[in-house]
Amino acid sequence: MSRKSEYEQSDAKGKILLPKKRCALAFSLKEPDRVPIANYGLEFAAIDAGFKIGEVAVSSQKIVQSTIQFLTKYDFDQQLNLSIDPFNIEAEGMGSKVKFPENSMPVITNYAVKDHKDIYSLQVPDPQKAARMPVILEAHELFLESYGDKYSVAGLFTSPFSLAIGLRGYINMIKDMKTKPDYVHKLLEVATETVLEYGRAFKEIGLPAATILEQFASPPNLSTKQFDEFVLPYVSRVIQGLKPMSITLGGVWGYSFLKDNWKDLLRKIIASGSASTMFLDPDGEYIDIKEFKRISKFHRRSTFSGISANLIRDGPRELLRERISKHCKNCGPNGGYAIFALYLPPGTPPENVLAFASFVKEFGTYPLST
Amino acid sequence: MALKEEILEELQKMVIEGDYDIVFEACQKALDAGFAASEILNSGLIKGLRIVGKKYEDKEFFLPDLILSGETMKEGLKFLEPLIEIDESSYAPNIILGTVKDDVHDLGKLILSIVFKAAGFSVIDLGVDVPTDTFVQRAKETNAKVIGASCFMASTLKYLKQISQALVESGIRNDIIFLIGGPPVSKKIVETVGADGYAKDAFEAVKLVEQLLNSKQAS
Repeated sequence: MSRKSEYEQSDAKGKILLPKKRCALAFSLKEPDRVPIANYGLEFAAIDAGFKIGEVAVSSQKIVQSTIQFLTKYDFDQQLNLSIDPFNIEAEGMGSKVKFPENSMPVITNYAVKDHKDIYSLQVPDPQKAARMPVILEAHELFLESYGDKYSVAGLFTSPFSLAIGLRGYINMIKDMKTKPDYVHKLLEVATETVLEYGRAFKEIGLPAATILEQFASPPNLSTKQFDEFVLPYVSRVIQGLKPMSITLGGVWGYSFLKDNWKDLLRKIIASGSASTMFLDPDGEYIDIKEFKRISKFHRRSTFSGISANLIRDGPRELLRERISKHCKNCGPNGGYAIFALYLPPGTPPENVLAFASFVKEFGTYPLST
Repeated sequence: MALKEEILEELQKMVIEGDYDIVFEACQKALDAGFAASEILNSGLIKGLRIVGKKYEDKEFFLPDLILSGETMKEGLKFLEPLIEIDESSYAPNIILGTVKDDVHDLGKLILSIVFKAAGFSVIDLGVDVPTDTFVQRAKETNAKVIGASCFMASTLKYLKQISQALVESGIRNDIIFLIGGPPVSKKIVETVGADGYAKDAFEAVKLVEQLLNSKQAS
């Protein structure tokens, strides 16, 4: 059967779809054959493919090899990040120093902006030349060329706020926000231009969608007031500036910290123009996830839910099964939903990763069992 | 008297509002008003920090509030420490905190440090990317009662086990409470590492340490 007819067959109800089609249907608020399974984090895949973490961090070929081997072996539908440490890439490109341990994740050891005057020498880097930015772009290009007919490929880059932290450090940013807010806004301006430039490079490769990774700007790391002033306007600019790419503001957690006000944060994320919404464990245990999905769907947004890394690694298996069942039952009905492993730590037993995927198939196959 | 109370309240307010850049002026004002440095610390700064800790625990405050209060406390201490007469018998139990080797994440450890100080502990912060031997050596030097090792990345979990083994080899494992923390840490990891426990957040960690210290004392 030709690839084209394989796609045509897979459109029909009751047929098993290719991962790309499955994801496309879910993200366009439709019901695929089953809930798509995605993964965030590439360390497990790198080690499983026989590589050292440090070598995958700097090699586009090894990123692609690790990813495809993982997707095929564990029957996942999408890898959300084609990089080991996506939150360091732009900051490194702008001059922050990164250490590359052989067997663990690269870490920033020296921030580019040590002193307030350093901001004036910051420049928007050329994504085709600066540090590892070209490596990551090449990994996406290679993956798209080789496997883009079967799998969805989306870009992933850092949000302006989290990038600013990669340039200045969290504690310094918090202090600056109190005593020198104008300076923080200047830093965020440069960060926003950098993210836009990097995003355009993803767009030029031909990627239709991307996620902005916002690992820092979540309650309680920031107050809602700070989120409104230092995060939302810049994220919205990136989302609007990269249209028609479909951009999701991902990685925001801490809904449960806001108690009854969690819906306000969700509505702000929707208002930013984010293409999808996302909640991550342990928030799923404290907020009404059915209502989360309802609000998202009402605003024509698909929903992702992230399952705890430690639960997948350590079990107990029965609890993992219950968690996946709960997420699928509450968020799965009528489609528009995908589930993902919220990072697979190195050392996770491979049989637990297989169990994760099999539980999603058990509870996430349409029509969902009631 | 009312004026004196106002001065202490102003110090507390500075910690609550995180006025790290001007706290030393308030400390000087308190000294000029006749307060002893230890009183400024205990009835002003630490009292303020306790209020912040409670508000953070009750989810009224966010992390930046806690961080700025910690920074205010740090700046105040810089000013007051040389003026405080040290009475070794009044030392609170020492707790050593550090992030394991190859890991430079500071935030979790910083929160712990602030909350432990607010609870009256004497905290020795070894910083980040701390070699295993340093944890053991500093514990011996300071006669620490507790070691709290932080690990943010799953790929550096192996160093927690290394610290545990080094404590056994150095002969001080039974004298010390060894706690671990960080996103990849779980009950199962505690068992694998051979640690005494872990906590989901800084406040739970303080309760756990108090409980473990009491049981140790009782036995």
